[in-house]
Amino acid sequence: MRGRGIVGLILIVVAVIAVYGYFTAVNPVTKYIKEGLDLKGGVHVVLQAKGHATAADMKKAETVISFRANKFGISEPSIQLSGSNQIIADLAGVKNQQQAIKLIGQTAQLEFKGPKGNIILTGKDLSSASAALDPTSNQPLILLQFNAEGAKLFAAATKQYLGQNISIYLDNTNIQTAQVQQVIPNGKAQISGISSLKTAQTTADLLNSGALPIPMRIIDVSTVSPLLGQDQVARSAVAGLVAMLLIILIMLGIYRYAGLIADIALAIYLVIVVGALIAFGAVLTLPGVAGIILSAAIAVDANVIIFARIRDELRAGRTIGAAIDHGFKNALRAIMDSNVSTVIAAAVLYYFGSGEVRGFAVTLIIGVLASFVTAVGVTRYLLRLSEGTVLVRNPKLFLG
Amino acid sequence: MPRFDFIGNRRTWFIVSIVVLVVALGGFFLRGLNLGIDFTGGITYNLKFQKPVSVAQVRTVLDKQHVGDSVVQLLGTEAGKTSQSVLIETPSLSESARYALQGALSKDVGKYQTVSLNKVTGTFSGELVRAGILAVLIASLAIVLYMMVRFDLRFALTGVAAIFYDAIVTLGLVALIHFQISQNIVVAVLIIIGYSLNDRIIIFDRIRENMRLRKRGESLAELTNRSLNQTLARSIITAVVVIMAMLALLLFGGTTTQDLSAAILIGVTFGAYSSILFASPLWYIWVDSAERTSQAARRSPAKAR
Repeated sequence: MRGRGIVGLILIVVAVIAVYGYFTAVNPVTKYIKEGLDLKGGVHVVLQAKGHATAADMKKAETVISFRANKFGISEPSIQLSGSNQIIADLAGVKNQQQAIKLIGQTAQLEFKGPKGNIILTGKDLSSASAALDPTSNQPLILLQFNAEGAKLFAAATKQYLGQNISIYLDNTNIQTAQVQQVIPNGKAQISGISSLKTAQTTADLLNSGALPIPMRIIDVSTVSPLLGQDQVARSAVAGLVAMLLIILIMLGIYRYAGLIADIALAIYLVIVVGALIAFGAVLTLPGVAGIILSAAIAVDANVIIFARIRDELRAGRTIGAAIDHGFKNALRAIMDSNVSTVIAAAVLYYFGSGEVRGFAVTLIIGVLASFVTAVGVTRYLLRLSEGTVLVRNPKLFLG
Repeated sequence: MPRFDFIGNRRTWFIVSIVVLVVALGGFFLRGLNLGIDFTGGITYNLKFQKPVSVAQVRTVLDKQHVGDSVVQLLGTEAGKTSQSVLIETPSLSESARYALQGALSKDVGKYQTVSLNKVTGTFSGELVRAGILAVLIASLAIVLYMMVRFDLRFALTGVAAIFYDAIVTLGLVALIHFQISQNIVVAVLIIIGYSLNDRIIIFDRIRENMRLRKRGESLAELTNRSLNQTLARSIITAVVVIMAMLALLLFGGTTTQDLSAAILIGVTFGAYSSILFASPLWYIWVDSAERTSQAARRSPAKAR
């Protein structure tokens, strides 16, 4: 029994060290964490609807812009509605800024017009667009495929305007005018005369994302430099490491063996929080880091409260086993009340707050839940595991 | 268990609390908050000149271009006389004014490379700040309701009042030191409010528990003192752990997070103080006067008979 407790404990310590070693040295976990605009740098764009926009229009525009941001390879776009007619797009880690901004804000309204300027088809009748090279001339093309309704309209139009011109407009710019050579019943069309295959590809992507339901104007663009520039990253890492070492040493110094257990619980806490962030695909921002710091403090505090209670019980003359049980029971009410009220407050902040505050609320909620599991659950499990050993039996070794 | 008489000395501690509050409010109203470009909007240039330049050289050009209220900072020098890397923060400028400034800098100070140009539109401008404050107020209301259910009205109101006390003191002292109010400070205040909430609940929990098991004849002052002394070790240890961690961030961390750790340091120190020496005495005064009133009420009908 005693032997098993010690072996189990050593296994857990080794496992924790192995996990940390693996995710820092071998396979850095930072690769998997999505960093927000403030940490990573990028472009902040504010778009405003020209003229009146309904809530449904704005919602659609938000979806279209999100689709485009993903399509154009922006790693962590954050697209949010703001007020009644604005959309804020935070494009973290954007490389080609000017192009990204242009594509995000483009209306991309496709129109096919008859000889008298009458609209035959629009982008809404499109089912897909793709880029290709003309096999004979080797010129870039955009291939269009209309949906069933569009195909019918296109067939009727090519029949009606046989021998006449049909013009294709993108955002009211004529990109091609061509004579109808034959009736096209299958809903296929192509746009030629494109400058490059790359342009053809981006235009096809834009057409696939759909047009913005309302034209939008870019009212503000700002380039955000990362909070921690190259020279700052190393310093922050050192500072974080020193802070963690200090916490570990203080807990060990004050609580000896129980302190070691608290340190293990804290290490597991961090694994859970980082794991949850990655699992939920949450974007980490500076307020998010703050939420993690606060919940780490709450986690340490929970163990301090528990150990203080166990000391009280030991002083009152209970046996070690009973002291651990009663200590936990007494501490639990305070910890629960503190955690629940923190989660309530964070939930309210999330509901009513804006982007900045929300990042804080999300990591705080994840962090408080993780701190409850580790500071109460893991600590209790580890104490139980080693209850029979000299580490717990000797009060000096146990709680200092 | 230590036996400090916190409640007996409550007058002294209230005076200390009020002095701190007055100093903080003084910082607020006399010095004012030094709002950074996160709030006001502006442009941050990070420039790398070909030859080292001095602050004075850059300032001369800024004054000529009518942006004398800009901030100029040399980066990466220990001596602090001249440097190739310069950080300039100007207020919002029109395109043409910006080009004029950039032209003048390269002509009069020297050729440079733009490392980064950060145009900020006051991310925290009016509406966002109001929305944020509203969210915090609603969150406080939710905490009051929760504490009313789990504790009672008196714990709830004194607890939340003390949380506001911590937030105001921190912001006031930040104004006094004249830290620039940036996103970092907003974040620090959120941490402080959270820490403060946790601290209040842990201590009030012990008072609540002792009230339930109150010994016959134990005065409210004795009971409150006993509760505070019982939780004192925990209060000190937790505060020391957080303060040490923040000191490490302050001393070893980069310049961009120094204001964050410094503000948290101030807030947590006052949070630990105010739980014991402000919130609890406040609760004591309220409950004590209520107990006296009800005792008097019980006695007076007896007299009337």
